[in-house]
Amino acid sequence: MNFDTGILFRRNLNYSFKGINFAPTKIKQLTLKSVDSAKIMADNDKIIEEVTTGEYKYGFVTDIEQEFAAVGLNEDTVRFISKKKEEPEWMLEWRLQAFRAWEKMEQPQWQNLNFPAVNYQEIIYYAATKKKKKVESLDDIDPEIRATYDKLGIPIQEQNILAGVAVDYVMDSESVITTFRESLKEKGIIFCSISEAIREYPDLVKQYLGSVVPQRDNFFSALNSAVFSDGSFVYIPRGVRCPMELSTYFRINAENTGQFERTLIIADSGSHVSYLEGCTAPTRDENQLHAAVVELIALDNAEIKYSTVQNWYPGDKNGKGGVYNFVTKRGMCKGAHSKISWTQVETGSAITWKYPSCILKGDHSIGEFYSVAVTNNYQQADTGTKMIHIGKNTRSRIVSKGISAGKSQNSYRGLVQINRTADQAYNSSQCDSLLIGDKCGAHTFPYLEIKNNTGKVEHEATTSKIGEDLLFYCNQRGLSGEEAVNIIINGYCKEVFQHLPMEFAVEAQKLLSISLEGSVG
Amino acid sequence: MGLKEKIAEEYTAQNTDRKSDSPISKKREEAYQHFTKLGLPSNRHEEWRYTHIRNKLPESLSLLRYPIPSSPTFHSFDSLKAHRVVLVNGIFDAALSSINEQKGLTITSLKEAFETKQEIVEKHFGELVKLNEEHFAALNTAFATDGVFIHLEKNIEATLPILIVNLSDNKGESFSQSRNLIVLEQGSSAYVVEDFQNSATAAFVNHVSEIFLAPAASINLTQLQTETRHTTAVYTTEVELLRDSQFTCTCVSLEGKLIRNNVNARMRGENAEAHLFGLYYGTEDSLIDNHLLIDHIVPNCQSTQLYKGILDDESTGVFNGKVFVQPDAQKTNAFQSSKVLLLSDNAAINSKPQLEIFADDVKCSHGAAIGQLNKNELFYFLARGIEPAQARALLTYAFANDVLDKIKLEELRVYVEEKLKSRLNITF
Repeated sequence: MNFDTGILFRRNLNYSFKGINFAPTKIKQLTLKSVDSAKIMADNDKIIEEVTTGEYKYGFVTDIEQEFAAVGLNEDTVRFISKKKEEPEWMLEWRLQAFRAWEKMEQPQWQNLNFPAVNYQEIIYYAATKKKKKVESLDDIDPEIRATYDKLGIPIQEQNILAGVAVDYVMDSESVITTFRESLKEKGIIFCSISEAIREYPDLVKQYLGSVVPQRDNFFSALNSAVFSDGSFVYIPRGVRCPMELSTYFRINAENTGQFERTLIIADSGSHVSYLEGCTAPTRDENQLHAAVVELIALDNAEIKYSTVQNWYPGDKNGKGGVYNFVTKRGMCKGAHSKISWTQVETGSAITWKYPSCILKGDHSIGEFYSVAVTNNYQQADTGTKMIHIGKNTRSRIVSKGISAGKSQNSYRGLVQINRTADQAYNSSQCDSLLIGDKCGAHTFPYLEIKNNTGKVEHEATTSKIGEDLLFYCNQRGLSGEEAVNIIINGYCKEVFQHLPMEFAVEAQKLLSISLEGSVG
Repeated sequence: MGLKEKIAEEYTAQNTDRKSDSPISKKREEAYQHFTKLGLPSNRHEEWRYTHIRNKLPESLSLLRYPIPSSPTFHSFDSLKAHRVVLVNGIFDAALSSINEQKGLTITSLKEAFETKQEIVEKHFGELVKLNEEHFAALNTAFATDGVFIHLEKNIEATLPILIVNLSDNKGESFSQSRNLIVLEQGSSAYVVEDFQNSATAAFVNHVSEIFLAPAASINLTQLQTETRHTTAVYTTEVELLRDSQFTCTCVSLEGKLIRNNVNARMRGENAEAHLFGLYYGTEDSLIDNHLLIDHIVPNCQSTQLYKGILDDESTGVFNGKVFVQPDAQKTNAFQSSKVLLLSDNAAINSKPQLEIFADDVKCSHGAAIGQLNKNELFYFLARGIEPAQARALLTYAFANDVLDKIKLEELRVYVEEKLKSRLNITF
């Protein structure tokens, strides 16, 4: 009998590389046997060795004067931050509520992660660059900051002109400039820092802040709600299609500062927006905490596409230092026929712990999650998604590609929940893991909770290494070992990369090469 | 007084008339100490997240009372030519059992084996169960006094299948702890059937089987929970596989109020194979939970998990299949598949197929699917004049069939097939 749920599992277990597109004419079964395979193997070992010992390229510190909150966290810290941000009373109350909830909570222990306890009293919760000169053009920006971005290889002006990207820089939590504001304003689009939104658009903020990720949702969301320093706010009015990709670069700069951004994106009925978030952080020896909250709200027929390239400092080759990236990202498909799509490329952070999720509340709404997570050296990642089906005819799709190298641990953890009310829901999940070297680990923890018998859920996962035959195929065609590994990995991730906006896809590929550097890049 | 306090009291009572210096007693004491730390699992425990067993166990349950019904009624598989062992409420019943003699094969009650096969029992008893992690296995180790002991000497093949009927008739007053210990020496092989039955309106069972497979030994185990209505039970099977050994397990759960199956196979020798097959069918408000673990500790082993679930009415299914591939276990080949048919609006499934892999040169895959009957196939039947209800039943039966096919003993397979057909109301 055919079990009516489409393809259920793969019989050929070495399938993980089907994303590679060689020109079809070139794919022919190779029968050459006389090549010195021992040498190729030795080369491959060397590649793997080099791949797994690559070092972080973006380690540098920008020296700008900063203004700090006192070390530690108590009600006064929260008040200090709120005051610094010139926030209204209701916002302070909201923060204090979160802080009181946080005080009673404990840091969760269930993740597949190992790290020393974080002392939350040793963190500086607020560090803003000293200014406050109004910035009108890019030329007014502190040259040091400009230099920083140049080092990152992001020629902002050119990028703006060429790609039409409006960038809302966040340098240590503080919004420095928002470009292209004016052209967005013409369409009625609000794109500003969240602090500004709290002051200028309190009604919108009050209505939606915390509506998807409540203050006491989890330990880190409570912490973030209490102390968030800045972040982005986007509102796309009814029926408007945002004419450009909105983009923010985050960067942790000062030593021992936690980065707590808060992002809120609202797409009103029939609107469309694509939002990019990219991160790099300079070298630090002490672990830094990053606990962001991102909330997306899509009303009827609206679509939000949220793309992330995360490249925080991953720690050195011996697992020293690196960023703890504990992030709560959640989107609510509130209206019918709405769509939220998460795409992430995670190459950085000593520890990544996040599950960008979709609550599919509106009928016919769609949730998507495309992820590439790369871990090297001693990095640990526990990432995945949650798809909560509530509305009828809701659909979700999960594509997760994990790559573990060195001594790293990479876990996919995902939840697909189909509630009683979600008739005709559909989910398809695919989680593949690639292991490079024999000291790393790949783990899959999918939770499928199905309470409706009209739905269909399909989940498949594979784990394997880079096939010797694939490497041989490339070597035989004159590609060096590192080029071969690079091409294979890029092919493996292609399914995810193709969902990234163009300019991001290029950066993502670059990052992947750097992350697995040595012979690969 | 809660159940845990009651257990503490009974443990003390039981221990007053026991020698405390024997290795078995020490093991029991160790198990009990672990149990006092673990307690009964709440649903905050990851392994018990979907199975709320703690509030299903009445506080009045006794672990020491073993009521022996005067004339227990049970299905005895008369047509099956086999060694027959009957346990009533966990206690070996010699009168109902019939064991044929075979050289090199020992089948006896565990109670007797504690005396007569002391050396083998002491070497193996409680060695496989993870006392510090598994609540019910620890409880069982602390309390179980009887069950079945099977031992096969080197290169002996048990010519007849061994049928163990584990009958519960404890009327919901006691919590039966039964224990099987199966030791297969090098090159030996056996077909073992563990059949669980309940003839009362309520029964509480905590059963543990420990199976040791020496190099090149092989066991085919069929576990039947087909006459277990009103039963609340935890069945734990722990298997150790050494080099070249084989373990095949087919578990069929058709009835039960709350059934939890733990099957844990640990590959400790190269080239071993473990194949776990399962079929579960939930009706009314039953909960059937299958927790599987295959631990690839050494290289070059193979494993399969193929489980199928059919959930009707308000029933709930839980599936957790774990595959661990330890750092040295290169060239592992592991496959897992879980498929579930949801037949009713109120049925639910919680599925967690879990892979944890620490070695790179492996082939591991898993697939999980949850869905309904194929509409085209239904149409095929309807177009041929078969009533919708019958058509659905036949398709459901067909869905289950590839697990039933794994039951190698024909009489047994036919029995289960008939059972399933009658459960599905198939009339032809």
